[in-house]
Amino acid sequence: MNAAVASDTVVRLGGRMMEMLSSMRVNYQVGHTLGLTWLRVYLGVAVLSVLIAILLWGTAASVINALTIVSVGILVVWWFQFVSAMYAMSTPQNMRLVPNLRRETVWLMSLAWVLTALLLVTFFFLVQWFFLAVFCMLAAASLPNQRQRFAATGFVSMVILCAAVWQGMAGTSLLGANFSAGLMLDHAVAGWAMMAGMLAVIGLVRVLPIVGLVLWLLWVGTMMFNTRIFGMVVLDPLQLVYTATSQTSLYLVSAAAFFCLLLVGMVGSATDRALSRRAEVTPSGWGVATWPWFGKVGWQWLPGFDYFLSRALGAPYDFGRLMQFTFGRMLHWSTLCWLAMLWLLLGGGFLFMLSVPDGDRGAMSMLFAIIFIPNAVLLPSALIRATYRVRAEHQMLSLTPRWPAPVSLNRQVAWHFAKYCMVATVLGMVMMAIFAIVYKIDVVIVGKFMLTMVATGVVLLAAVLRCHARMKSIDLGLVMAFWVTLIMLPNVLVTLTFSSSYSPGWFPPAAFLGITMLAAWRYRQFLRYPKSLPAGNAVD
Amino acid sequence: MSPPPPSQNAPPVLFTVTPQAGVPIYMQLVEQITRMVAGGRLAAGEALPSVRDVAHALVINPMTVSKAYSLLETQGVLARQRGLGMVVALHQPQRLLKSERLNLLRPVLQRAAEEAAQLEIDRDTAVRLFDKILRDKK
Amino acid sequence: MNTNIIEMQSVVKSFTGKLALNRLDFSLASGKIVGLLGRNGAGKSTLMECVLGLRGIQAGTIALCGDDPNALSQATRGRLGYVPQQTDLFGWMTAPQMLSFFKAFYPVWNDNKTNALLDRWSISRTTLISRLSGGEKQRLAIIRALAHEPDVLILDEPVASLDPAGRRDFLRELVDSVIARNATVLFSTHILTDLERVAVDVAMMKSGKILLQAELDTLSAEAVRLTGTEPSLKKLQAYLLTNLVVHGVTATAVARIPAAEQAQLRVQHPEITIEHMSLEDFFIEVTA
Repeated sequence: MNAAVASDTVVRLGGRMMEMLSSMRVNYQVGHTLGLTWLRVYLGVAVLSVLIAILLWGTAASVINALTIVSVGILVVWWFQFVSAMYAMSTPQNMRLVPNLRRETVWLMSLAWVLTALLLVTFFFLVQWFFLAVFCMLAAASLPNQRQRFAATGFVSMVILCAAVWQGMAGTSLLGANFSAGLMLDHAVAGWAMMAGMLAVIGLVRVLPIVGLVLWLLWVGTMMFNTRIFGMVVLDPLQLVYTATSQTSLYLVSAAAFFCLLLVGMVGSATDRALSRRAEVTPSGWGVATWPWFGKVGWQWLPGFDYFLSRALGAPYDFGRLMQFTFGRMLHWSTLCWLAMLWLLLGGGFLFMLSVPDGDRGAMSMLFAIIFIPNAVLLPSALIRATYRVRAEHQMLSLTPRWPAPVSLNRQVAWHFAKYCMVATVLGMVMMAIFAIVYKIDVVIVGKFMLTMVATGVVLLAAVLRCHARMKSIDLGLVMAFWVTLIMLPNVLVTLTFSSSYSPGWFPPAAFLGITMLAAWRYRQFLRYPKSLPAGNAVD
Repeated sequence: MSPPPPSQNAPPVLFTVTPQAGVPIYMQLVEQITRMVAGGRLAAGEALPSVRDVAHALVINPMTVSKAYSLLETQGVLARQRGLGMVVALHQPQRLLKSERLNLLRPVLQRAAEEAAQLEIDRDTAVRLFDKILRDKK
Repeated sequence: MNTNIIEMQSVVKSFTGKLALNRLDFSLASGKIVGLLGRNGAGKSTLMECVLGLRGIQAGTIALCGDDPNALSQATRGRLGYVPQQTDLFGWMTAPQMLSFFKAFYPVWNDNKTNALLDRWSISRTTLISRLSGGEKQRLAIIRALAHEPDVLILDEPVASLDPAGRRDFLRELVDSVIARNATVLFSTHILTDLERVAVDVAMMKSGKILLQAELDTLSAEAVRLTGTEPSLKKLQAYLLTNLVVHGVTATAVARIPAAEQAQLRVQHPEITIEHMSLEDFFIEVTA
């Protein structure tokens, strides 16, 4: 088969797919607006981190690092949204939500999807993330329904991303001034790719939880007793990164990511064309509608800038929105989660940069506590505030026949969760700070743990809110908060005690592993209303 | 074919209603139509606007109009005719009886008298005013 | 067969100590147009929100089209149209975006009607909803609620921020397309003229209870003010709805007397003046 024919096939296949995807006008329009919001968030974070880098160190390297982290974050978000949207669309339940979506679209997308996943799995099976991802996904797969599986998947995805990001950055100041070292984050991308692959599996195969359980036991065995059952295949990522395998995988992941971005771009332009044909929303119209000053500024010197933005940003967010429409209760939920993730990336950048100067470790720990403890309060509050704001919108949606979650949020319950999550997180952080000072623990580990706690608290809270919008009793909030604390503190102790020499490479996975498993287990129990629940006394 | 919107080819509706008058809207309609028929403004056999048209024009519940029409039908003022809807009945029961027509006028005047008393308008002035209004009408 | 669209039995709902619905009983038969009257804080919105399952209740039972409001069936949700008091929702979309968004969630959607109404009520198609005026937002909420041709409409002060012409236009739409379809409508309002025009039944609420529920025509014929001496009025105690207000020798009170008995009472008690009241006066005095 010659190149021309091959490319023709690709174009035709792609064209067919785009044509079908372009029927998602509704979500696309919403995507426009949200895409712009996101652009602003991205730009804000980028500017902020660059400013911080300049203010603190004033070196070109630190600026480059900050930019790298932000841009990799953007790539990851896009990738995740694309993949998850594909997943979201490939279930019959969700197809109904999209007017005029044809069956072939779903098949085609599923196929492209599984191929991508296979590709990634093939090249990463040696990497520890594969195992981590597999069993996390399997744990999630054991949840009773799609929505909960998805929530749990989102949760572990974020966990793995965070872990991978920090692991890549761990204790290696030699990476500092090197731009390409920022691509160490390929582990993060790999982690997300795993998530994506596993999502497909979850949707299709039900027997996997048993396999997952076996894997989990082996994994825990390795972890706890340092017996290295997987010694042959699980390599330390810090060693791996300098091997040929690692280099290859880095390029492959980048290639896959770019392939997907390309796909996203193509979808975007096809959708855009479809939109222009309908002539309902002109490419310049929505920009002006969203940013009133857009119309006043002389954009003529940059014709089509607005148009370009709509194409580049609209489509991926279209998918993102679709995903949320399908699974989400709160329209802004994922916005907040992503905001939290960006915070974490930013925090990671902080750590990265702070690890360069050689300061007093104990004082540094306190500094981290001061920096991150407010986050533990701010993020859940932001989430809850958003919950308030969207509650009324959500109520309207919950009254429509096709909205997937026909119940509305219970404010009181949301508040209780938020409060207790905050308390638990702050408590855990303070404990960790004390640990750090007393035992002179590595500053990076302390920072990682704090970020982990914030992430866990926020995501757990969000996931619970999502799935249990209408709790009958606030006692469950207490139970949950109790568990959040219980899950976190033992993990600190366990990992500090058992993992060999606080290995920066193993610490986050170990901590996350425990947290994830316990959370998934508890979460699953939690999803079944306990019989003791006093029904009908909800106050809001 | 779906029915055309009522505002298009409907004849101008002759009635008026005043909510807040203390009289139910259907009674206002009944009184008005009865007066019009008695006074000859609606001739025998003349078709009345449809329920839908009246409801649309006056922005009132169609059921209120139906209620008024049915009441008038039982009183014999209106009759239901195939294809035309409601028409003014050919044989009006109280058509020529002046005393009965006066009876119809009485409640309105009674209310006017009450209000005149409340406003402390003396009898002569009130009668003169009524006389003037009657003359202006002609 | 149970034809009641809404069935509420001794429903209790309180907000941090304040009782919003106090063992409230209410039912709404299919095809009825009921105006819900009550002063601010009487519990009108709460009643509607509880019926729709948007708020949890502490005691009692509610059924909406036979469903538990906490688990409305798809069919029921497809039949419902709701205009909430808060209309500044989905401010981040334009009107057509919001409508097409909602369209995706309904099996039936009347595009012609939404377009015609957007035109008729001159709502901008390019402005974000958050930048529309209060009246425009409210009209848009009404369009959204009518677009899927619901046969149960629950309208929480649907005309509160509309001018008289806008109100008239909305009522006309209601008369032409909703009532003509024999839909069931529950709407709260404080504008009595609107209520008198379209409602068949009226329900008056006061401090979390339904004070009275009656046919509008009957009520406006029965609503009277009695004026007379204190002892003479006391003889008619059974009809009185308010306490006696005494000015010197005369006393007044508001009562509900069936039309047939009014003439009889006039003869029996010539010392008492029986005057008809407008619904508004009646409402104000009864809920005072």
